[in-house]
Amino acid sequence: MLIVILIIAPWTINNSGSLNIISKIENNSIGNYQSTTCTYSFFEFLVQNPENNYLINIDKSATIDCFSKINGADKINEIPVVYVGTNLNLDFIIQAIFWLVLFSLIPKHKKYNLEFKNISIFISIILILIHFSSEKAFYSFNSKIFSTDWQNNYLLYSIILTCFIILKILSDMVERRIKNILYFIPFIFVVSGTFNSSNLNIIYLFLMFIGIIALFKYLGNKLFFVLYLPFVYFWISSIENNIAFFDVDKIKGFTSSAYNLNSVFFWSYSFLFFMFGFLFICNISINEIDIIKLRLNFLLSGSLVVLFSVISALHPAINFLTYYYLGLNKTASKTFESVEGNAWRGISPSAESIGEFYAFVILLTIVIAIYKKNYSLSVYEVCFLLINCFGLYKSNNFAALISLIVFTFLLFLLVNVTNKKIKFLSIFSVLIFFPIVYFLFFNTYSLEESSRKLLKESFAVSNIEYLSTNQFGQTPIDENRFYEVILSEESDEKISTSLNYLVSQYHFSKRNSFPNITTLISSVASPINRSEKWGVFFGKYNPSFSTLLIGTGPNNIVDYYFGHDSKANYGLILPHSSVLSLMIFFGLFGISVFLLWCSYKLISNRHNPYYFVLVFFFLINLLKSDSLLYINSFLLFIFIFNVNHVLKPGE
Amino acid sequence: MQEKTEVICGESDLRPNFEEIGNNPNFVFENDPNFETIRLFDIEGNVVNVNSWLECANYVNGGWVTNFTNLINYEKNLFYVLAITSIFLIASNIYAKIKD
Repeated sequence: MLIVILIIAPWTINNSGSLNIISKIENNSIGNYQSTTCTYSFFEFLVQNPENNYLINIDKSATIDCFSKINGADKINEIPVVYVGTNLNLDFIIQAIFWLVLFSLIPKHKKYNLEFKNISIFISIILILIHFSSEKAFYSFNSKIFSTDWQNNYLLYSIILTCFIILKILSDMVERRIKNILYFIPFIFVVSGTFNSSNLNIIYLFLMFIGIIALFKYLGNKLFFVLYLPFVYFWISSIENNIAFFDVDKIKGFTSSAYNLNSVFFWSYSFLFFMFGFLFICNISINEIDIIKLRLNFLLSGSLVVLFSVISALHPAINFLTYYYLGLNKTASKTFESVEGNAWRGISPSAESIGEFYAFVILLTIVIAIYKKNYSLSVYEVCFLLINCFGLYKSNNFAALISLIVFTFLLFLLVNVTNKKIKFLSIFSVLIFFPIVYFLFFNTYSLEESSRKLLKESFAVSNIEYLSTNQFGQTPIDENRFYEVILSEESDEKISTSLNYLVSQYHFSKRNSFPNITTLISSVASPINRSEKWGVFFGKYNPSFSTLLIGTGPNNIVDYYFGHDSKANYGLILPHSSVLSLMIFFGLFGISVFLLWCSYKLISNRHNPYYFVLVFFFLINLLKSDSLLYINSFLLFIFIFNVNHVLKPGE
Repeated sequence: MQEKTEVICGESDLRPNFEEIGNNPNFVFENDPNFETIRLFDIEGNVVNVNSWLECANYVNGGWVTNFTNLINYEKNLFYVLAITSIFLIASNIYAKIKD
């Protein structure tokens, strides 16, 4: 009941109080809408316009009195568009209350005493204030009165108090629910928890708060924190140019919108605490997880994602409400049609990441069935499974589907073949056979062409219009004379350091007939359709020697994005590989630590085929997707790395 | 209103007829080089830079202000509500601790 009130009330109570009714939105009434802004509520509008022949856009910078009101209209591509007012301060309150109510639905257990709650609230608020002061440009776009001056700044005072109230209520609620939170991990794909007009996410804030408690609680965390300090110092000291604004778009709430001292400070520490928080929750509760319940929740959440995706496409008002209350990073797909004819993302910001999720849910269901040696599912579970299959089909994530088939096959071999030699041979042949078949069918280029395709794509986004052409109008790049381009003095500033390196490697290795890193990356990228995306990455990625080693700090791709001028500095073009994202954040050092950690986890669980299959499934998909840039996929990934505590062979 | 105009635009001997100005679509405000440009805001947050006392007085008469003080009233009220809620939360917490 409370949930229904919370969904309806904000959009109805602030109405015009007038006997005049708002006109129906039509081509000839748009002018009326433009002249009577901030008068009629969203509800009053909907009463007059129950059809779905218009679009709703959000006017995020509305003042409090214009919240939930119709603040204008336009005609874009012959379709009327109305603007609904939202407000930074009220969004923070309304969305947080809604999510707290949802959080209260998690079943209670015996109280688990959390110490250091008050100090954690205090530090969290300080960090949030630093965040607001560091991303001024982002907040100025989202609020007409945003300012970081302290005098009479009631907006800032209110934000502090709102954070205090949210964290205080959360801290009281969490003590009786902390051990059940992991059961609800799948639901973060339904409720993403990103605030409408802030670059913050409630899940991130919550885990950051828990992480600060974990910092004070465990000596290991304190030691790690001390070791982490020089890295933060390094990330801050390597800032050469402040960058005020980066449009975070679909990765809102989990990435910085600015590159300056305070933003690097906030995202570095908050990310560490966020990790501490999640690992703390895993640590205290994962051993008690009932895998069957967890399976049901995964299946249910996958189905809910499909359900909300479908209903969001039915009507613009539903689309707006799902965006607002589920805390989506971006409004859900407005139609059932696929993007560019190939993928439908629904409520997810990315078709690729949600495709991986559906495939993972199906794989997990298979893994648990084999693990429990119980292949029967309830009627509900069968229905949910079918809905997840439909979701996977609509998301059109071919890589996730193929890896689902391969790893299912692999699991059967690992579990059912007892003879070690046969097992080894069959696994080896699966691991060799599938990639070879894939490459044979999907690599349409010759080895030579695919080995330099990446370089050509990188040069295509570089600002090198000055290149001379021959009598046929061909540049040195068309003639594959790449090294000649980087030798040019003009290229010093125009070619990124990473592209420079790749060209050198390609050029000299080719001469000496040595295999080289450029050919390797390019040949892998070509058949998995990543030549263009990774080419853009290397065209833009311009690290200094030190940032190549250590990166520019967690959740900060701003310097990568704007630090080097290229033709791809507009629109959100992500690296399309989580490995490359990690490279930006933590550099080669971070990648090495990550690989060592993965190796350690895999080697120590080498006799656990269930764990092996789930982790490898995720790792393979991460190689070609940006999933780790989304908070829900990131948390799922960390959770999967801990499922060895749940799936134990022999039990 | 005159007092408000003096606070925002400064003193002047002029006593303009705003109704007349408003009804005349061809009225053009002339720039006063001795007048320091003032930035005014309306309730929607729209901005206008005025370059003469007359222009300034006309806008102030129409409800424009030099800052967001008027808009901040909503923020102020919200702040008080949140402050009371916070005090209530702290008090209930202290009460629960004493009770334990």
